[in-house]
Amino acid sequence: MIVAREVKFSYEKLLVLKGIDVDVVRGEVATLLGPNGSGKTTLLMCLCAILKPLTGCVYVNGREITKIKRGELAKMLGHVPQGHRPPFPYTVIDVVVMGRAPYIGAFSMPSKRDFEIAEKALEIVGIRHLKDRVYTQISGGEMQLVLIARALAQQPQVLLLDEPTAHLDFKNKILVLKVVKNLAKKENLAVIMSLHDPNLAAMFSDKVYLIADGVIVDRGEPSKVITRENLKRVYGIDVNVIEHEGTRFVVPVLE
Amino acid sequence: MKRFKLQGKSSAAVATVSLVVAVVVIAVAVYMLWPAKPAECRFELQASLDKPYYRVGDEVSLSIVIRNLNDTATTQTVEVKVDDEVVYSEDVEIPASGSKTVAVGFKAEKPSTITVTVGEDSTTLSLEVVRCVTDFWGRDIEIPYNVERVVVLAEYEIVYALGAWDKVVGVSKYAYTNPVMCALKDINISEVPSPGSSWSLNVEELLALDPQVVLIYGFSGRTAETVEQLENLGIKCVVLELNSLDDIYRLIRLYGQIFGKEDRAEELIQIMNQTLDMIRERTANIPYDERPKVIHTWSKKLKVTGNMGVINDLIELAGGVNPASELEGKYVTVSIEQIIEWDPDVIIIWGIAKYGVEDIMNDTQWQTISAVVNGRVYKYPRGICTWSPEVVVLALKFAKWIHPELFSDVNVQEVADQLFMEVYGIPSPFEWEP
Amino acid sequence: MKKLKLLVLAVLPIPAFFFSLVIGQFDIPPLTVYEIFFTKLFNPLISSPWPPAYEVVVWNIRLPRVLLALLVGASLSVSGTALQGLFRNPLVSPYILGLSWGANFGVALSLLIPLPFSPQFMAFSFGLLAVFLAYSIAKVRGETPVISLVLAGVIVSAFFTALQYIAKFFLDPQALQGLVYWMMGGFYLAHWDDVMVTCIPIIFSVVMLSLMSWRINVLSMGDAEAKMMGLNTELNKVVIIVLATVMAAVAVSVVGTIGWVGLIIPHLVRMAVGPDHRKLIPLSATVGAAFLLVADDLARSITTYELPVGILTTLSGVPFFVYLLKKTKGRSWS
Repeated sequence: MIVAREVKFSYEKLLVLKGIDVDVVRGEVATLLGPNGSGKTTLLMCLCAILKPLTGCVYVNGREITKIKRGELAKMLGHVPQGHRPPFPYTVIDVVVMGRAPYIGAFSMPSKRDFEIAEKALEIVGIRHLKDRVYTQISGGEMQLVLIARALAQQPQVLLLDEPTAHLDFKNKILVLKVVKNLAKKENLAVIMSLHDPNLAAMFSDKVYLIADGVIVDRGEPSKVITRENLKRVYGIDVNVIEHEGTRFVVPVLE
Repeated sequence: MKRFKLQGKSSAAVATVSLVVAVVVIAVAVYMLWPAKPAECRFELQASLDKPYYRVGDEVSLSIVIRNLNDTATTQTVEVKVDDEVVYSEDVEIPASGSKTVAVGFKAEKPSTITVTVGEDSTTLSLEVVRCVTDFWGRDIEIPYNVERVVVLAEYEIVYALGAWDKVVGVSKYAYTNPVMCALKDINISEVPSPGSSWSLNVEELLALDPQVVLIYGFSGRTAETVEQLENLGIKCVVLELNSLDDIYRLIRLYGQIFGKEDRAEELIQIMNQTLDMIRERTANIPYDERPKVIHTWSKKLKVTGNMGVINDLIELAGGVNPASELEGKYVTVSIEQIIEWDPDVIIIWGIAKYGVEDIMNDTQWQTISAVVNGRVYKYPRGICTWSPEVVVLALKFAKWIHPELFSDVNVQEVADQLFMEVYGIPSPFEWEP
Repeated sequence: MKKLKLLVLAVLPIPAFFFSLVIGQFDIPPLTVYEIFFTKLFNPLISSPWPPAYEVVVWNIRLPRVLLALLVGASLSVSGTALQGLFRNPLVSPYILGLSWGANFGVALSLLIPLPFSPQFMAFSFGLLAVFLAYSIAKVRGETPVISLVLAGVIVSAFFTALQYIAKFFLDPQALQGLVYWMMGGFYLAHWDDVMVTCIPIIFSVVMLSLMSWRINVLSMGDAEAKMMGLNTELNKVVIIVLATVMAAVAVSVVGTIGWVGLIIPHLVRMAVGPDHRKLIPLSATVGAAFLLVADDLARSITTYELPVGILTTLSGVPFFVYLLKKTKGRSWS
């Protein structure tokens, strides 16, 4: 569904991505895991064509991403930015309906149907009751869910999430990631997200890309990638990996 | 031969020495034999003034102390002369071995030399005199009696008309485009340096001109500051703010005083009054309610002359009524509805305005106003100064516009040419009768 | 209740219009004013039974003035609303990109040098030139981040302010007074010509921006997000800036710089109806039009003199603004 081949990217002279390959299909949740500055966010931006790779290509549905018009791309690919504060206190439904932008002409207004789709999207992420609340006055977790609903309103096949758990408390982290994982299955979406926490990556991903210093160190199933050796290599700390009821947990070694 | 020569030389030396000795002996003899001065004629004279300097017209108080050095009383004639005029001459008795004080008073007129003579003795003092003028801010300003270097930022043409142009070392930059100044034959105005204008003055350039006196307008909000600055530097500033016809007389007299041309100033006023009296004679008796309503518009059609300023006086003088005189000020912006309400019979446009008669005649908003209906919208020549003697020509033009029937025999151009000839020595640079 | 509020705001200019027609120095009975207005409107060729001055006052003086005030009010408010949304900053006004200073300099220049163009044309051209300069300065690698635009606006404003001071230095006091009066803004010279010149670009821009109002919602989420929602942000930005600038430049060139309307009205309306630009833009037009009209009514009726309306918009706008800010605790944008 979404494929990256040999993607290289540099800010001025600093090479940030040094040839990266990604393959994610529908129904699959892929996580980009790596320390700060490893190139996760840059890679996500290349995947949604906000940044243009130096060399290499990104394909969505078999088409090269740079050759797809913005409006068309937005129908195929939804992007969920990190939680933020917009300058104006729109209601939640007004924010979600903005996801219909690629389907609405420059001089037109969203129709009744667009509002229905937006409401449906809210329902899918489970926050329909927040519909008329003011977006700037809800909690961080709810905000993240609203942004996911907005991306859903674009009716995409690919969903990209930039650190969806940043600044969230423990419960909300789990809540948001559960929603994301369900979406991939129920809505049959190809999901790529970036995360910091190996435990969360292990719990909610089908596939993990371990990135350090602009290269993919390892890829594959969480159980295969999230290992003591790999994490030592990438984060430079010693950890113990514990298995409990089929899920792996990473615990740092304190001594 | 040599000896002979020597001999000759020594005999010449002897002759010279004996001649000198003879002269000395004769001189001593003459001195000894000269009749001795009578002892009773010996005095010591001390004369002093009560102030270091005086303003024109101030009372000067001179005190003379005469000490008799002899032991006999005597009577002497004390005489005081200011320049060559005797202001005091009395016989005074001076007691033996004592002193006598004489007080003499007279009016200071101009810088002079005072000579005091008592008997055979005399002494001199110099009398310092400055002019004191009152400017339009009511300040008394002392200026040198004979000003030599003046920067004129206001009404320079009057200085010329007074015949004092040789004292001008700098002018306002607006002088370069003043039609009268440009038309003058015997001066080239563009060669006179300019430190700017009353509104934007370059103080450094002004100082470079080294003036004793600066004549400056007081309309700008910053004038007070500039004046203080200049006066701290020892430059006298005379501030001018003209708001009426009477102020023009005041200005001409003030300039006459500053340059010591009082007689010519009165002459200029006479010239002005000839024309003004003629206008007054013809318009004075028109009853108030029969006078046409006249408005004067400035840089914009809706900026009119209020109750202040020369123009308002001119309208009254010319036998009109300015309906805008109910409003305070020289420049008043009003609404077009206000003007329709006034319904003026005559509209007169400022000469420098960027719009003309046609702009008012063709404006749909003005079409019902009487002046427009009757085609009585006028504009006077560009560049005519309303604060100079030629303002009377403008008054005459106003009068002829407002009361054409009363002034049909008057040719404004002829009056203007004659006035300009008498004031500036040139025919009018403005056209008055199209 | 909410619907009623929207309706009231939407029709606000109508009572303001009829109220303003009867205000003026020249005394005409109000009913006669309406009689003249409707007769002229429906039967323009009828010979009037009123004194000709009445007709001139109502039809040639008050009507163009009232219409111009409505147009300019709508123009400045809509321009302000659109730019605030686009720049995601509630402190933005139509003058943010240097428009007013460019226009001021244009007028100063036309007073200084005799040119074959009218001061209005110079104001319009230099206003647009300033905005174009600001936009060019802000453009980096084909993109114009909002913060660069705002900074570029500051730079361009400063540049034209400096130029204007140079021009001012050479102006004589009379012309300078004219410039000062122009800068303060006013409607007292309003003619039908002015209405004709301004109505087409202003109405066109108001309609276009109303149509694009939902786009402005999306754009107000920020460049990157709007892009991910499929918008060609640069094109949208240019179109909105051009519309907002042209309409404000037209207004400024005819009546001078009238402050605060473009800042206050967007706020007021946002406080009243919320941030959704679909309501905000059309209602800014109606509320702004009514506000400026009433401000001008005050300007021409408080004294026999004509007060510059810009002084009144500031004087009346600021305290009201402070009151609302305190009352809503700034909630309308945070």
